[in-house]
Amino acid sequence: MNNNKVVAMILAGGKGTRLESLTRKNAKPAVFFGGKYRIIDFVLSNVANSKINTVGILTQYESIGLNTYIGNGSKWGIDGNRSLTSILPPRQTEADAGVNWYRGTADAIYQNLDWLDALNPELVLILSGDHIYITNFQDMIKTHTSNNADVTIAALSVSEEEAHRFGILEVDEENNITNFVEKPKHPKSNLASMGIYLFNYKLLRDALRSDAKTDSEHDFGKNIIPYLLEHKKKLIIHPFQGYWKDVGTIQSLWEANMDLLKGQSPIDIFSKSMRIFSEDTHSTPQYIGPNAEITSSLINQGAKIYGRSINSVIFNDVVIEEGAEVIDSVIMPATVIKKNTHLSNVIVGPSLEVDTSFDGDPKHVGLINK
Amino acid sequence: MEKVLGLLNLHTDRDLGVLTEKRAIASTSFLGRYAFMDFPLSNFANSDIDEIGILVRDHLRSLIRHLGSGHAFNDNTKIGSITMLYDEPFAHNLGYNNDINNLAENRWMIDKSHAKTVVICPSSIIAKIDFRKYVEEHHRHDSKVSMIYSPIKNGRTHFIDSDILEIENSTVKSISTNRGMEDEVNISLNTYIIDKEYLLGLMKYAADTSAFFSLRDVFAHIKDNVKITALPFEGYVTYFDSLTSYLSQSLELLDPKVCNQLFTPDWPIYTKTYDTPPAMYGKHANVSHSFIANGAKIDGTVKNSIIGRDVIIEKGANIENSIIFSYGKVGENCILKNVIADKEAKIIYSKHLEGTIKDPFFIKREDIV
Repeated sequence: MNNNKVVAMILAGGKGTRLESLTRKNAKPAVFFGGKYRIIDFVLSNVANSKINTVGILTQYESIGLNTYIGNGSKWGIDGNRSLTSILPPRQTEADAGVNWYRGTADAIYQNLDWLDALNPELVLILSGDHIYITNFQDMIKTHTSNNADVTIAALSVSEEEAHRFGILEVDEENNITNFVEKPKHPKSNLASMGIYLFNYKLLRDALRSDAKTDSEHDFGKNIIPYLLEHKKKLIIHPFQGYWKDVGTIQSLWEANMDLLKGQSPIDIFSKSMRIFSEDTHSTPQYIGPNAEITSSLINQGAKIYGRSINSVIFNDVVIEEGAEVIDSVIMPATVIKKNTHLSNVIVGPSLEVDTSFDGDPKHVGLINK
Repeated sequence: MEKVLGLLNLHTDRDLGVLTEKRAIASTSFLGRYAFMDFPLSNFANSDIDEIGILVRDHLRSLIRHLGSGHAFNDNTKIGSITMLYDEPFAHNLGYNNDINNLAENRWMIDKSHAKTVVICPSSIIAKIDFRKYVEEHHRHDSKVSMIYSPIKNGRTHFIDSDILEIENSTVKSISTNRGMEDEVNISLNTYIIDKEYLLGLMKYAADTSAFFSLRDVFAHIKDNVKITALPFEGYVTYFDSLTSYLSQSLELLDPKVCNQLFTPDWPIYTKTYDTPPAMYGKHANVSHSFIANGAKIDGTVKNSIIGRDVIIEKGANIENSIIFSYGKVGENCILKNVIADKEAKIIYSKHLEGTIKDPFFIKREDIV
């Protein structure tokens, strides 16, 4: 598939309320993750590693920080020849002097059909900006084209207990989707939609135009997919294997960080073939003091560790002072853990000075933030 | 500030023994994360100097590799520029391959520049120097040429073979070589502020006098007839001229009291970055008093050492007073003391390697031992 015939659209405008104060002045995709990264680095690196060179990023909620971070896409290399990274925020139009806020995931794409038309892609890959996973979308594109599908949805097998939290897909023996139910009380399958959709562009455009005329929620899962099933389009699944996490809550954000520290981590940020690209700060070298103790930890450049870091994720320019102790925790950039402060099972936000000890519970971790 | 042309002069750099057989000091790894040239280039950037020439003596490939587009050191990537200046016809002739001949070969850069003042500095002397202050001082003295020097108290052991300046009333009276005879001496930092027109004059003077004259030779030759202003630098300065100094002076920077003089929040050091993941410490890691670069995976013991990017240190390994370059590996139960392992060296079979601080044990680039 010619690389410029696939355009990736990343939905990055949601509020992420369950991340509490971490998203008070910050969009969820821009939340820090894994000692160095922001959540959106994973999907943008996946796009880059899949050799998809055109990407639109739809931002809305508290978008200034996120838009600044995305810039021209150079952090992920999507700024070269025949590459394009465009930030697509809501806009004022000739028809409407107010701001046309995105009313749903489908409406966000609908409002940018002019941008897509100018690119005239064959396929549009709809992605979410707040999932942690590593994949090559070319596999999904192959599934889509070899089956002559109209729409392909990435699907993950989940446990019966979890199934009610997802959009659940029912399929026939050839992986054709026969039914789709958002968050069913009694799931009939364990195949969950990951919110990753690959559309034939012309069909997507028609469906979005038709949806825009209705007073639906303008949501891919709730409206567009059921509409296409109803109209007997060929929707298939692309089975996804591997690590995938929606870090929607403080607990799940903490768990995903802790997953990076496991001996055989389910997600390999050290992979040479599927690198996770991000921002490199102009920090000083990471310095480990004479009495420091560090085990099972990820520590980024610019950090200065004089105390203990046990099973923790330490971002750039964090200082852990002498006698301070950080266990099973995540410390975001430029925060100082003052002398003799003990922290466990907690996420600590960026640019803070922490001098009060806190012991969280691994089942209900704490959050220290402004 | 007025427009200033910055010239990074690699001709005056010494070598670091085996380390610089295939690379210049300028592009040699430093503190696990930098190359030496990052420090003078960051001094230029932080001093608002955005027109930069690099006077290359040798090892062009390694320099180009580190510098890339040079955008890491420019504020505005279209207005700022970094240009490699190389005297290709005479690069392999020791007599001719000096800074003056290089400047003559690349005279177009000086002619084209709108700057009236030129700052020239080496890459083997590491210091945090705000050139804006020195350019001001240079003008305040109404000087055509000024030299920056460091008054040091350990001249018997440090800066051996560097130039000593004898100074009277802020004027250079003589230039001699440091033979380690005295503790308190004024060491030339090979760093000069020169009016551009005057530099062109010096180049002509050199051509008319000796085709082998370097900039330093010209200064020594003209000092009796021309006023060379001496400007003191009082901050921390460290100088690299051998494999021994590379190990001991790199490790000296592990002391936060020393390190904090070089790295301050108002003076970032820019470098080519590789976007590697954070360093990963395993269950058995035991690290103290060390610099660790990103991408490293450490499960052994590391003490008083510098670990480069993407280095793997396995369980049971024990590393002390050593520098491991990027992409290296120290296998299970290997014990290293006073070792310098060059880029991509893998220590797997030799379980005990030990040098001394004066005579570090060296492992060649890409070797497996």
